[in-house]
Amino acid sequence: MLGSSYLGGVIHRLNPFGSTIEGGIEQSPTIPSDNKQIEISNSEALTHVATDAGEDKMAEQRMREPEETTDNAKAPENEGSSTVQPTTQVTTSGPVETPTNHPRDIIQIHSDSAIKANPDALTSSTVAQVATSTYPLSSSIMDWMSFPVTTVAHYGSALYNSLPFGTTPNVPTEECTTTDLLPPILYNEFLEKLKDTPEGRELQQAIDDLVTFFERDYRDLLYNEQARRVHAFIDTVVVDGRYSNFLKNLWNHHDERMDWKEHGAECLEQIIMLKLHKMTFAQNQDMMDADLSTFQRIESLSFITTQHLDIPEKYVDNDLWSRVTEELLQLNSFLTPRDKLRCILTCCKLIFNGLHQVLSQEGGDSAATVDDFLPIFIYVLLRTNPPNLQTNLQYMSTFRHPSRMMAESGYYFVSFLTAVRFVETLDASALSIDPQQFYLLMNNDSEDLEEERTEGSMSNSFMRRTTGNLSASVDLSVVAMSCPPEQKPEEWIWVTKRGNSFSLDDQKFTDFLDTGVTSNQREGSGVAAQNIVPEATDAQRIGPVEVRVERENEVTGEDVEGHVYSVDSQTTHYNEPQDISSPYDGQELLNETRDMEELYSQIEQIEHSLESISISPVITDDNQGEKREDRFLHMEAEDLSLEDVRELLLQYKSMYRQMDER
Amino acid sequence: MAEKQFKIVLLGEGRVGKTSLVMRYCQNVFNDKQNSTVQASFQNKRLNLDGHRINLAVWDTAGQERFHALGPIYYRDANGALLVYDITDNDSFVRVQNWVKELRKMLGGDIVLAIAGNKSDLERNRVVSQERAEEYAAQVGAKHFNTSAKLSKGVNELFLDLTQRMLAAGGVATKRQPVVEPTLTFASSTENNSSGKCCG
Repeated sequence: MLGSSYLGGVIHRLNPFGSTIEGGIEQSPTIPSDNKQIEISNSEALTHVATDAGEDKMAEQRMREPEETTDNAKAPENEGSSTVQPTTQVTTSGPVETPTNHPRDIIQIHSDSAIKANPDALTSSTVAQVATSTYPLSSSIMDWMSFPVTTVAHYGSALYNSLPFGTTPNVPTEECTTTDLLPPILYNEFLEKLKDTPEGRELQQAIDDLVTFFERDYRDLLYNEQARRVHAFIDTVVVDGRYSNFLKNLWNHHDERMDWKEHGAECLEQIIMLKLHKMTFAQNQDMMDADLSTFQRIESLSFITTQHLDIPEKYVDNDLWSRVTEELLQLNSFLTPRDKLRCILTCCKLIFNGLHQVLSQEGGDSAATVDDFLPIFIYVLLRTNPPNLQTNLQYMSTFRHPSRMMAESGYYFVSFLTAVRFVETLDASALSIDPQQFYLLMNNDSEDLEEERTEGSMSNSFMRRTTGNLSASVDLSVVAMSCPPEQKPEEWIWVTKRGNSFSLDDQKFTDFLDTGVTSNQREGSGVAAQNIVPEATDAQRIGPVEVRVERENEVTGEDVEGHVYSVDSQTTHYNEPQDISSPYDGQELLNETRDMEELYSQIEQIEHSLESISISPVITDDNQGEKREDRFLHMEAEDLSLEDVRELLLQYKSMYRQMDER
Repeated sequence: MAEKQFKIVLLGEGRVGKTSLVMRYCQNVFNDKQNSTVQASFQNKRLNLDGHRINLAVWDTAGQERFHALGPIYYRDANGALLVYDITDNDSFVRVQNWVKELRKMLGGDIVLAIAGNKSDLERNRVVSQERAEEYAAQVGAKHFNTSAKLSKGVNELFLDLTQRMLAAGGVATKRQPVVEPTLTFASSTENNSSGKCCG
């Protein structure tokens, strides 16, 4: 419950009427008939009171928190409410400049939503609205896509701005500190002095050299070798006098005892991996295939319920889990291994906080343990099915510095890995389920899946999986391509692209977005896209993606209709040559096979009837027969061509007629 | 002086009190439900011992049988393992024996083992005799302790001894040690779903 102190300086307030609200407790027209709505706005008000000048309010909020947790029902009457709609405005304050559509701010909001750890924070739907509705529209996306790499460094600095100084969420005591999270201010100073001091420029040069080396040679290096180069570079810099002096003196004015090696290595990893991301993430077809198969595997396991995993009823909290789902889906939005690990860390903390709350309300004598946590994490993973799962796992485990894997985020990474491995390998015995029922459910589901794939590119099985997930997102490139016009919803609420590797047809993409924007502006909703990675233009890089479209009732904020589509590269006809895999025309081949089978069966019938009248099918005293023998005597069935079979059949038929006549 | 970092993996059936044991050691609390911010599953403890600065990272694992096969993902690279059973529950002691077998198979002699018979405050309900447990521990090269997280008995001794033995065993994992080979490759071999290979 210390989440408030760690929300940092970035605050967004949602407002139904398009104006900006400052401060914490806002009296707005209430909608007393809609309890759910009131709750949402209440929790939102609670969390987001911390404005720039709002330290005292934060304190006040902290003081109020115990009361809030024990008495949720009381709050709505005190607080008033506001309707939450897609048409929201976002206020950023604190260390950030005024809100613009500049990517930095966008990322800021994004990262802030990713680090929230207070269970009383925004519901996922409101966060999703904030995160997506402020994304720049088509033209500015393209601008951002073409940002040079050096500008991406700002992404990092903005990211760190949004973090508070020095602590992980909810780890208050010194004994429990973790070096996982780098204080934002340190990274900012690092970036600043990298440009401004001679020593810094020397280090910058070394980093640039490494990047240049990668750009030239990365295709020749194995994955592990690439990581080894990066880690060796970092390890060298912190011991090499030429560079280490720079790091040593960098933060002296904060605290002389500061572990500059530790922090320096973190800064280096962050800045290097931001630049290398496009070369090191998602490299080969094998990983794409692994992603796809895991994706389908999780899809086929969507029937798993909390009972199957023995999650006690008291822990079931769909609102919280939706928040975690939303969080976990952000995984692909982060570029560096460190940020990805923090994304997972946040998910885990959210779940743990939920468990702690349940247990403390219960007043029992036990603390939440990993025994309670892991089944829930697995269940959320099944519900979320984040795209590019295997690629992300590999990327994180390979490129995160091994020494960091010992720390707290490493622990939660391993928990995540365990959850994934469990899902990959589970069978009926790993669940509390009747084996026969398991078998049936599995097969039902794979049939559904098969059907979806053959029918076309659309499936709506996501809905089942994401039930209760209030957020909405749409993967757009594929929608634009393969969604039949009549299936396109009239109203696109949000458009979100997830996944990092994509081939985009700019024109189509822009057209699509433009359509969405105009219709939505008319409808008063927002369309946004996030995290388009421009460099991935290789058609091979299309991984499984998901398409989710939901409509939202503008008054209540509830979902009234949802379509969720799953699409993978196989079903995407976009930009792929028609005859990519096989030189055969499939239909012809199929027809031919069918013909052969038919002819074979005819031959069999005739042979059988010839036998039944006990006459040898082989005729040697006849010219035709000898020819036939010569030609077909030593041939195996598979050597026969379609023509051969036809000829053979004709011969048999004539023989048969001859027999008949006799 | 470089700080030595040790990873201790915590194994034990659910409800034997393994989490309480670590919370008692790292936080000196017992089931402090008021302090909801304490993350019980991963704990750090810094200490000075024999002139060394040491950072212990204690990794809790899920005790359910259905996650048993995934244990290696957790205990790879561990310097020490703390196996906890409940002295009033014979099954939990049998589980400990299974884990010991598995750890020895996977990690050989590289891992330092400590076995804790927890809930020693419930002495009158004891079903696993101390002699039997100590004999078993000696057999497998582990050290046995009677602990009570509730009464804070035997906990410090246990961790101190474990740390000393890890220190004696070498403690290879110092921070920021130059990397020779990337060690974390387990996720790259996605075909190897059998978790046993992860630390092979």
